Amino acid sequence: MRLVFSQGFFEGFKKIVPELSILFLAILSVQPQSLLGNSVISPFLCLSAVFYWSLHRQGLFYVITLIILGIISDILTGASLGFTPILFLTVFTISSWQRKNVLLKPFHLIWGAFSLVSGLTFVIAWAITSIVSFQYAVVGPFATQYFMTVITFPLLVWLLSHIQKAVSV
Amino acid sequence: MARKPVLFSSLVKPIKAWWQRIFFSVGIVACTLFLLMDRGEVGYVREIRLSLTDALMPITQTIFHPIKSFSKFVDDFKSLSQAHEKVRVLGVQVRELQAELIMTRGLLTQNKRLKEQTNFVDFPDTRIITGRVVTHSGGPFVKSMLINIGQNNGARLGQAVMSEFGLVGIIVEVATSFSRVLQITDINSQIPVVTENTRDPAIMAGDNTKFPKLKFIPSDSLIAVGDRIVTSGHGGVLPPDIPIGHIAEINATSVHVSSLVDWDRLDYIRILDYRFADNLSQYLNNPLD
Repeated sequence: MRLVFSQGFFEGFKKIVPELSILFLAILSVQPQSLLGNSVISPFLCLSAVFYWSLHRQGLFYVITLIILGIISDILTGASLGFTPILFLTVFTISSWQRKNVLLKPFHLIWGAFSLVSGLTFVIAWAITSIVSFQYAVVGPFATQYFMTVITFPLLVWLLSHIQKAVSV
Repeated sequence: MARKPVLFSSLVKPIKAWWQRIFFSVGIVACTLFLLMDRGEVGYVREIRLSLTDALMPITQTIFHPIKSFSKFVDDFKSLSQAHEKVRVLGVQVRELQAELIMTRGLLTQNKRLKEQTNFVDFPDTRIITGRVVTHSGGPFVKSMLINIGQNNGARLGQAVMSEFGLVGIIVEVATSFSRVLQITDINSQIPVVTENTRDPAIMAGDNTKFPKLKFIPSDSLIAVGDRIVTSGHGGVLPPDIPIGHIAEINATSVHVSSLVDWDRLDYIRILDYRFADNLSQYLNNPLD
């Protein structure tokens, strides 16, 4: 009986591993006193995770979960509610749409696809920031975070693929 | 001729694809509406945000604990190697400060006497509440932080938040146990300031970079790189003469300020509890009163 319960728990846990990984990365990104320092712009790791799981876990990865995770991220960062879910949904939709064309390609092509998708997402983020603050937002910090996100993508993919293998998601 | 059997999955597939598209569209519309309502400061959206902040923060703090301990360990290790040099520098600074302390005491007494003689109406005394930074957003979209001082501890909207040396920002959201501080570097932050020596007024506007801009500087102003910037007290939101930073760069189109706050090592903060903030809280809660 106990074994059945623990098996059920593990099965349930496996199903929410993608969501948990995105949540953990969202929390990690707002951690104060990081080793790099607070003023250093950190990569948008959640975006990379959303892209990865959208390719690998399409069937289970529902839009409503992304909206909830985005809202949690907005509360943690202090962004306007709804800002991050829009970015997540953009990445999710494009990667789901192009999933068949991307998934079995060599890694450098997947990386290229991510740099294009995240580039578009950062343009949307910049446009929303400019519109809601009624002024032209400086492009520099957006460009810095975009490049950091693209550069750290292979590392995050390596980590997430190991997690995926470990729990056989 | 036998008909091909229709598979259930082939029927479901297009429905599923349509369902996902509909959900995506609804999601985007809902998020946009939420964004507009949040920016428009609709009452119940603000309530939802504050309740979720109170619910999420204890979980976040628990997860942060091991990460923070590791960061602290690395920091301690780094500073240990510089301990000898730091002790020597501190010794020199203590001697300098002792000399300045004697002079400052004399000036304080003189200042007090002059105020008495001229019947000067001073600003009310300011109480200080000390707390810690809980989260710090490191992205380019927004520059804000959550602190562990909430309504229960005396935090109110509009209060100034300081580090050891300079202004960090203003409280823009107050939950039961936590508050959100809009940093002076945020794109939505606009603070009335003056230059300390020449008293030239200006507005310091953040742009999500480390160096906020000075706007509306008088055309005959004689500002120079290195001039100290303090709050002006205009507008009745912040008390006057809170140190902010110094002018870092003057070019043809803009003037940039370097903050006194060490954003990389910002862990403890102080809230200045003064009477202006009471008025602002009342106004924001009941703007028609």
